[in-house]
Amino acid sequence: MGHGIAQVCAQGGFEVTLEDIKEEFLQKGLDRIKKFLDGSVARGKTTQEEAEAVLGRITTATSLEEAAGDADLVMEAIVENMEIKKETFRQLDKICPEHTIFATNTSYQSVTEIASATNRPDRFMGMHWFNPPQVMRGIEVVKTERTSPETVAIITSLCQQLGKEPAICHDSPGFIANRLLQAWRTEGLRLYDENVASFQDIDKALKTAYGFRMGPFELADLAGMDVVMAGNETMYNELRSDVFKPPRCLVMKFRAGELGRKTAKGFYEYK
Amino acid sequence: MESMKKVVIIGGQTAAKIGELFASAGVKVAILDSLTDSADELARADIVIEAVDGDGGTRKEVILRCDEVIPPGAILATTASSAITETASLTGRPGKFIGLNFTFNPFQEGCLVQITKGLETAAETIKTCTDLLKGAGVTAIEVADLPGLVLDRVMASAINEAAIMHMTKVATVEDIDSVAKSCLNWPVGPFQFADVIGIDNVLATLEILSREVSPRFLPCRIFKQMVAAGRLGKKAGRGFYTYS
Repeated sequence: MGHGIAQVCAQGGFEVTLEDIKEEFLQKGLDRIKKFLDGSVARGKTTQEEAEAVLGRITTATSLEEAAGDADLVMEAIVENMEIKKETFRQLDKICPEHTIFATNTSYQSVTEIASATNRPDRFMGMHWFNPPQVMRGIEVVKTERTSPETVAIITSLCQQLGKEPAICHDSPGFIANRLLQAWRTEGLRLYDENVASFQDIDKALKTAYGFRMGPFELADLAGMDVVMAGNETMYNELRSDVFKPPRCLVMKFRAGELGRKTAKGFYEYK
Repeated sequence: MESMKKVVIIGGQTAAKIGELFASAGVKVAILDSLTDSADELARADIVIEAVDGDGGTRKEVILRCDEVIPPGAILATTASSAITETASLTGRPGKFIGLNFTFNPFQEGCLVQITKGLETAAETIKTCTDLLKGAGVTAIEVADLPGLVLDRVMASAINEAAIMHMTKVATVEDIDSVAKSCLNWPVGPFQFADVIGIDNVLATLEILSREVSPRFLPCRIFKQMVAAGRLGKKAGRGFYTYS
């Protein structure tokens, strides 16, 4: 996701350094950005000159020192692992200037806890992007008890400058999007557990009656049962609310290894 | 080929909308706003649909009266979204009693019927209704007789969680709705949705779900307060949002 975020920032006119642990990962990211921009040029959404200018604003680095030594803002979009995230920010806290603002891109981790690894919790926020970042308009801007109003204002206006719609929320499990999505999807899955209707009919009902683009089962297949399970478990443990209790059909699909689209079989079959 | 069914629908606005749906597909349909002076229509009906707007008491009266006057072989249906088995038991035709719950998409074209099977509903009754709806080009699904059916239950879960987020200061009403649309691609946000279907209806659904399905549907306190204050949503000019 990092390359997509880098592209959006470069399109917004910012000088961006994309950092990863290996040169080849960086090249892959740059290739994807090029491909996306080529597509935009082909569809007449942008000009060749503008695409080149965007690429020209992106440099790469394989060390945090090199990448973030003079940064005004650092956005982290690494693996969803608390210890790795904390360690990364511990290092950044030493490398970066006093004024640098830190943002973590996370779906479920506690922003408050990640921020605790630094000596700048007032200049620390969550910025939860949605895939693909170049396309999705919304960003959840997550503030903790310690985030300063200045930091919130800077990040919010940055999102607007990038053409995004920021939604401010307090650090809490799943923030807004995943909590809402899970309350909706989990209840859909549970109806199938209880034999109230077939899963195909549950999907059909929500799409036909209210215009949802995908039903709960199609969405679970798309995200993958492993990801959905982990989300449900986290929310259930954190909020202690039965709303998020993993439904049996999800647990069984997960245990059977029928993870969804990525294994060609979940609730539906894919060829 | 089976002869075309004659459908009679009883009620006001909802009945008119359902009638239009059938009529536009060429189904023979009569809409009655009351049962007086309509003995002829009822005596010739193959399927009678009770679609009375308002409280359960009126619905029950209409259903029991229909049960007395319509042919013994006719199907009797209700648009209610709960207690199909219970209502069926009050009639002399539990095998020919069924739920046909119509939901007209409030945001775009589209209608869904939740065909609700009571414990005693005969397979043939379900088939007749499925064929009738299919013939009229209406999307239908089969659901078990449990409060909230599919649609209300899923939406109630999302709306209640959104309200809890709002009341516990996770985010504002506007930001929660904005995330639903711009991050989840939902057609509308949960609060806009609640305002359209009515806060009184949201509360009633959550109350029956929390009583009969699971305590996890315990309504967020804001709904009771809004109903008490008359903030019933779009129809009242004020709900989570203000309408002019």
